Amino acid sequence: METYNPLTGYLPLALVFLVAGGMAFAIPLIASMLGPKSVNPIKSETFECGNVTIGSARQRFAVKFYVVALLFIVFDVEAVFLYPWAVNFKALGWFGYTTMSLFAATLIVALAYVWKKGALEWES
Amino acid sequence: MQRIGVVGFICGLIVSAIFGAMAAAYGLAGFLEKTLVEKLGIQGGAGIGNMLILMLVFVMVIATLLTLAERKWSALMQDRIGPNRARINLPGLRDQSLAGLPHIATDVIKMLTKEDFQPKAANKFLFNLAPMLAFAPAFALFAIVPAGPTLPVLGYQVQMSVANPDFGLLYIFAIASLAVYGTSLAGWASNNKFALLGGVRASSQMISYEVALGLSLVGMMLAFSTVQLAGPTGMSELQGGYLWRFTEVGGFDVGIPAWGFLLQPLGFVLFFAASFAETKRAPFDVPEGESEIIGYFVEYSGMKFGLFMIAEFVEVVVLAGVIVAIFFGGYYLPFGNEWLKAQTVFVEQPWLLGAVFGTVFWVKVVLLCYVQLAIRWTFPRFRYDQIQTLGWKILLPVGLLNVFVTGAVILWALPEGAATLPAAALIPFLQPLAIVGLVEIAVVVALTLTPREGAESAHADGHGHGHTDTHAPAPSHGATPVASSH
Repeated sequence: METYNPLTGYLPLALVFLVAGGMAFAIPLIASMLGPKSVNPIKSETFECGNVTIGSARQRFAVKFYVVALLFIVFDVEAVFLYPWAVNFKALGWFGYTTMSLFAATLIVALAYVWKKGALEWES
Repeated sequence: MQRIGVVGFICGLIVSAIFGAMAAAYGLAGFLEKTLVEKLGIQGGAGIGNMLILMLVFVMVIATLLTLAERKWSALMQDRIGPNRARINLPGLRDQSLAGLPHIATDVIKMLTKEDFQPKAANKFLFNLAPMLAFAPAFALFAIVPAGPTLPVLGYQVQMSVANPDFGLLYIFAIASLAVYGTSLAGWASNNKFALLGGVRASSQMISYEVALGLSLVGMMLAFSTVQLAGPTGMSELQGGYLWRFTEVGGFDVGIPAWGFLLQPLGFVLFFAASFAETKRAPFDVPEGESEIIGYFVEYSGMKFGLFMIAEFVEVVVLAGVIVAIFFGGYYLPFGNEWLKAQTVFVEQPWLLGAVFGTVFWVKVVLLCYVQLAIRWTFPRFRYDQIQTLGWKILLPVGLLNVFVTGAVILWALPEGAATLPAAALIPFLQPLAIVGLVEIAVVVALTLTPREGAESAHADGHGHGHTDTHAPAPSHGATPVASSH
């Protein structure tokens, strides 16, 4: 009790995860127990506005979504590098500012390149 | 007049209910902290009490009420009445619509008693997992938002946030990212082309805006040198300080507070836009687009759909809470905080002070929820390419620019050796940043008030049209166009 345990601060967080997961699990479970059950082949069809489904939805989709995912990783990692700098910003002063500007400049160049290459265009 | 009286009475009722619940929250948190420390020797009881009251009561009740408020307020904006049919069959309430409140109960009963239905083609496990993955992160998000100051209750320092980890805001980024899994899994597992389209749109949009979301808050971290929201050096507490302190009239302090939206108006706009896109509500609702593809939850019915829906409203409440904690002074009033703290009644009973500040926090949250609903019902839906353009070509460069302009201004204003001072003592050095912020606000207001090119030409066209009309062989004024064509 006298010694400070750094993990006690995380006890409520662990409980929050338990409660969140428990609620998310329990609510549909209760609903499935309360609701009726009547399965028939027509109802189990995939709902596509009443049309007969043609083919499976397991097919290829536009490559642009992958490009966005790749760009996200690059620029989100940049943001992650900014946080520790932001917290120690006042202590690091102009030296830290210049260093971080140079780091961000490389990514601005990357953004300009991606932009010029048309990876951000969705109209075509 | 009578209507204004009724509205005023109900507002007073809500505010006093919030006050009572916050007083209870401090009491419960203090009691649990005391019990756990004395019986088990572990800290963290306050956080457990806060989870019960703040998350399970406040967030869930406000989110539930928002499901009705959205329908009622949209009806108000569209000159409709809105839901008013459900009745409670009790004496005295038999013919009262009660502002549609019984509709909440009917919705819950309906969703709970619907068939738990799975389409044949779906991947069963992932199909059932997706709504849980959408709801659980949204619910867990509120854990680090402080709803009141840290105060001594029953002899223990009691915090008014569930947890106050060192990583603070990073928790929000981390948990909010998990919500992407819910939507993309729902889209993929349904094995439906519309759902797949909605799922990839949703995940792509959410990760695009996450970049801007992360960058938009760096400015506030620079200003306050912390990522924590709660606690004595957290952002909410620091916003109780003054940038400029004007005067004290009878001990009542007046000044310009160090609120986030004054220091970082651009950061606020970026964060609001990006997080609005994260909640996938109009104008960013292409993943759902109920008039075209219905979206990633097209195959979901009953309570599983309900989980997606309640997750959306929980996100609205949490977003409002986070914005209040970072940009709108948290639980502090814009003035008179020190005067309040010095009152004898509050010095003797700190939990009353906490209840007052907690009420301030929740009133701000409810107001911001209203702003979000107003935006959702005012703006038309963006096209998907417009959404991606806004995220990558506007918000990301502007966010980066904002970070480095903010950093330069702060460093320029910081005197030598000031970095070792405590964070609260550094607030007056943020004055130049606030001036930059006020200039930004002024520019936005000026741009908003300036008539746009398109609007002016349309006006000119209308004028020209009216001009030719007067020369035309005049149809009788007041006749409808149809009548005059006969």
